[in-house]
Amino acid sequence: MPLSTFGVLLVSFSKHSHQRSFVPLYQRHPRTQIVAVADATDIDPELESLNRQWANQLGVPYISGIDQALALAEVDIVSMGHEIERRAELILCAAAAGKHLWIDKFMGATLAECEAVVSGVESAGIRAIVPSFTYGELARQSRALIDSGSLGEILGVHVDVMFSKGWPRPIEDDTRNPTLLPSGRWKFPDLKRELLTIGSYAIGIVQVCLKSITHVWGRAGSFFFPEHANRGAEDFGTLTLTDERGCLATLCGGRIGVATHPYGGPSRAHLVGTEGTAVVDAKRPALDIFLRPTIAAANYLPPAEDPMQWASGPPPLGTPLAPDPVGLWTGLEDLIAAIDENRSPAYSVRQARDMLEILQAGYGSALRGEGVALPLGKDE
Amino acid sequence: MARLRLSLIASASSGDLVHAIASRIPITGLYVPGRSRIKDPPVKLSPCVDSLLGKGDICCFLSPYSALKRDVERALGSGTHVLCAGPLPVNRTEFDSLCGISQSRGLRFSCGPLPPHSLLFVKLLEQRRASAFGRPVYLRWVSGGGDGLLPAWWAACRALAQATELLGEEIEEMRLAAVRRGSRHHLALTVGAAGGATAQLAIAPFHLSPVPDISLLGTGGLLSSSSLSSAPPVATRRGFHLHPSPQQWPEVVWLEECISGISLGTPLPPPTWPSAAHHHTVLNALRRAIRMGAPQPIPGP
Repeated sequence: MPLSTFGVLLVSFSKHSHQRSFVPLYQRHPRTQIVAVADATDIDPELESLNRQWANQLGVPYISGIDQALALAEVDIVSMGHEIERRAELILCAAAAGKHLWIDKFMGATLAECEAVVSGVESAGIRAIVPSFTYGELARQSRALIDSGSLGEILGVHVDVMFSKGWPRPIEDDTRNPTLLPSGRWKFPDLKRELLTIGSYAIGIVQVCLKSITHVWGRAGSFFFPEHANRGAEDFGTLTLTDERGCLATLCGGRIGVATHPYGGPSRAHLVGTEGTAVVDAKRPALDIFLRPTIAAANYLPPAEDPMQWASGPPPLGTPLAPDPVGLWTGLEDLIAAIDENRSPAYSVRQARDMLEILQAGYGSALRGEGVALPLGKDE
Repeated sequence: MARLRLSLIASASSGDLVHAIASRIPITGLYVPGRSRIKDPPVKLSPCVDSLLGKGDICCFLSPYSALKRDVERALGSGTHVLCAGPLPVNRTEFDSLCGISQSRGLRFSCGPLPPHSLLFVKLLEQRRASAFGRPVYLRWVSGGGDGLLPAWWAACRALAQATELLGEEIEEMRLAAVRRGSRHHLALTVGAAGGATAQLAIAPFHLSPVPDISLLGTGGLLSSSSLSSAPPVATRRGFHLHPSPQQWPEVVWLEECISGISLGTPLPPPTWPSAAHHHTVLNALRRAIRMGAPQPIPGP
């Protein structure tokens, strides 16, 4: 019997989301088909125009209003790319309508929203995946090493994920906001909170390697970009974590400026065990490519329309050998298998909720200058 | 002038270091504390420290062990110069006593984390001071500490000393997290500088090379050195290993300088109590972190 095909509804191409990166994935996979683009009715005209452009380009209808879109029988999976502040509300609508979910990075802006999503998804009995964190090469290789037993018992993991993007500029002391913004105020038109945006990839690796995190200490006080410094919104942050067995993790995440790394930024983990230490590089194994015409013609200046390079990147000096280094294809395969087998994907809403709790604790720690114990209380 | 006789005291896991030293400096004695042995030792092993001691000779303690303090005291008491490649776990009275013996007998006595002699550190510092580097933002350090609490402590003190110099800013706060399984100790030291920069220093029981993995990030870019690229890789029937040159070991360069200084009668920088006390604080924090299972603050130096 032929396997069923799943209709995919793309909800929002908001500026900060990765929806545009998911499109080729759904187009390429034999069991997914994009059936419509939709968004809420009260969005910016600019975003609506972008959504409509994508719908035209894909040859599918654009539907203004989420309820109407969810009522379409041909929609099986909702690919959620709305702004983080409205994501939980829309996810809950989709789950209530019985649609499976592909969620771009974060399910909500607060822990309470994430908990509501966990509850809504689990009670609806649908499958939901948050694919960005643990399906890529860094997690795959780390997991394989730990499972092989060659490191003995795992004692710690130390992860650095940095994006060599954007063009740092001098920061004037008198315009700088000396206080770090608290968690919850995530997005601005011209910047993202980078411990959240990039540090989350490193936390995903920690989640793969260690047990539940019980203690978090965060720091974020050094800046590359005046946009960030002037608002007190970190462009670089670090966390020190311990898990329920006392095992250790340290990590950093940040946007460090273009032309600082041959592969677009370090993405690396040191795994420390009782019997050995290993270094895993997300961008290795790779083919180094040093071609004179390419190198001599390389332009590292970020495009004017994308100064932080959210949708662009520097020219790398090589290419990873892995067929799916970021892991989105593997994630989609897991979601489809989870639907077929009526099980949860490997990284679902519960793990994503735990990640936001770690991040929230990290921001709280950086703000107050003291460690934070997990689980967080209701008021934290 | 008669040639100084150099004896080494090193743990069994320091075999590669001992061979690296022996390839550059003549050694006359070797004592390996504990029951394990160094493979193919370059000189006959001595059964105890006492048999290495003699007036005017040099004893170099390359690794810490439980009787280190006692053996250092005996060495000084016998009129032997003492070079110790890491800090001693001593209180103020013990520290003053050791310094008193060395002074009264005119002996050279050096202890504490090695001065940063490695080729890597020198180059890092040179680049870090270039205007293109900008201001430091982040330092990642991963190195090996070997088996046991005291070797992990020595490695942490060494990492901390170099990190402080690489950040080049006043240290505002430090937290030490540690975990232990049997004799395996793993620790993570997070160092916050007053200018906002952070160092994350990890000491693992095992590491790929004597050289740490280092990434030093500045507002102008990234300085990075991988231990995997620090030495020629060698594949043999027994497996794969790196073959660092003797100069890659900071102990080798340090020892050569110390011996040259002693031969010429140049004084070595004397140990200071504030430095020894700070290292003792790190050791106490390490013990506490293991016991509590949570990061422990360390007061600044």
